[in-house]
Amino acid sequence: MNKTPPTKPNRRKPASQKLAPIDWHEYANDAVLNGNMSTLFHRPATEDPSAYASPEALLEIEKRAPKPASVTPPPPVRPLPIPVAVVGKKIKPLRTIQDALTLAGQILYQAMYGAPEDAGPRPCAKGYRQLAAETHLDKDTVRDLIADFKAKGMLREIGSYNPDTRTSKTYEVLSPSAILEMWRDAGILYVTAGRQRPEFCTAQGQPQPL
Amino acid sequence: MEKEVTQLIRLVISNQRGGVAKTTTAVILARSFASKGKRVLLIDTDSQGSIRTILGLKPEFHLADFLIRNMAFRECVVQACPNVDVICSNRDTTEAEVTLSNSPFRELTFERLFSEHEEAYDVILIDVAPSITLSQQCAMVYAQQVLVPVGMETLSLQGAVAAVNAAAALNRFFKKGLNVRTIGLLPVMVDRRLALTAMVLDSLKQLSADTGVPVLPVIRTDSAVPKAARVRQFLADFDPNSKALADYNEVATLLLTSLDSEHEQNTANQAKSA
Repeated sequence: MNKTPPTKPNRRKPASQKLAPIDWHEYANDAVLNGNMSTLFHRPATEDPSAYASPEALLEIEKRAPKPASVTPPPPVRPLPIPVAVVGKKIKPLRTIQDALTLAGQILYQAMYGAPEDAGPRPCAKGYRQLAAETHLDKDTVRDLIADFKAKGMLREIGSYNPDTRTSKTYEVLSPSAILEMWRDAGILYVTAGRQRPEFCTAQGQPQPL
Repeated sequence: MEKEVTQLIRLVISNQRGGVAKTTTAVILARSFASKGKRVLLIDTDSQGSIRTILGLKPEFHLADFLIRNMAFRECVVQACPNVDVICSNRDTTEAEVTLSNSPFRELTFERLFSEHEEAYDVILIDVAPSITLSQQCAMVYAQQVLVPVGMETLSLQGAVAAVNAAAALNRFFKKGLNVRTIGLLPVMVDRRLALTAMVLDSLKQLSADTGVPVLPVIRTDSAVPKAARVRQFLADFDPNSKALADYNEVATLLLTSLDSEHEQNTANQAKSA
């Protein structure tokens, strides 16, 4: 009679056996794949993210944005007269300095002036390259925008580049309220609106130099 | 004589899992870089303030004071040893994050504030909390290079995957000019006697092959590391012959070499394209 021998029980502990490696996709649930970064898409109400956010991110930001009614616009410094007529151009009243700047200009001004507190004029000794790196803008764009800032009286040069000491060109950047006050004093109350760079204009849409 | 221009290395130590030796790695690497003659700034953005505890520092001002209370940089920095400056964190870091969360361009906060002071340093190491917070996003946007320590257990691996993907998510969010990349997966607390260690190392190799992130030389487990923290000393001062220190020194050398050569290559490419 052919008798099968009894199977010998495995006395090794299960924990001592070699484990198969984990496929990392096993752990890559939605939260991990998206990097748990849903808060990235909730932007401050005062910010315009189109200056730096990718098109896909912009869609997501728009989707998650709170209702416009909950956003209280900042009160204007002075009451503005209603525009009389518009000649071929769209215009908008100049309420904040951001109205007179492109999106890139807003970021550059932020990088040059620093924290948003209104603390009077501040010196800025950053070079084009540093500003370009900080703002993720092109160096030529930074140069053009600084020239535009100068033309609009937002900053002035207080020190030039010294190759001996390697000190960079220094600008004195005015605070947002000081710039707005200066523009108001010069009678500038409107800017052109649209896709082009905003320019100072009259209530009728005619160009108005500073 | 032309002055030698050295590259500034900015590095975030990140893993979305707690207890994987992020802070320990940051502290020991800072000391290793300093021993190689680099001037190091170590920034703690974790509101637990572990670096302060590990090194026994007693700063008067913390990271939050620099970020939101306009305290001068020099006031917030303490010297932990020659060539290593530290900005410590405390509970107020959470408050700073709440304040910053409503400010425009909040992810650029570190870039805006620290770039003014980085000339005094060769290496800036940022230790972050084990969750994706605003300060971590700021740190990643500023440093753009992430080192991910991975402990030898499964959830640590999940944290590493999350850290790698966080960098990718930031790159997707920003339009251009941002290239946050994970420069390495660093296996830490490696005890090869354990079956789990072999499994995690194999999994890391697979992750590395799929994502292109290299696996760095392993850091062996060493009882000298917690003992050094207990006596509030750097590991290099407590036990210069410890095996963990030897491993960390090897990693520090490798990072310096690879990042320097990468920088030179980038500079050459830029010159060529110009």
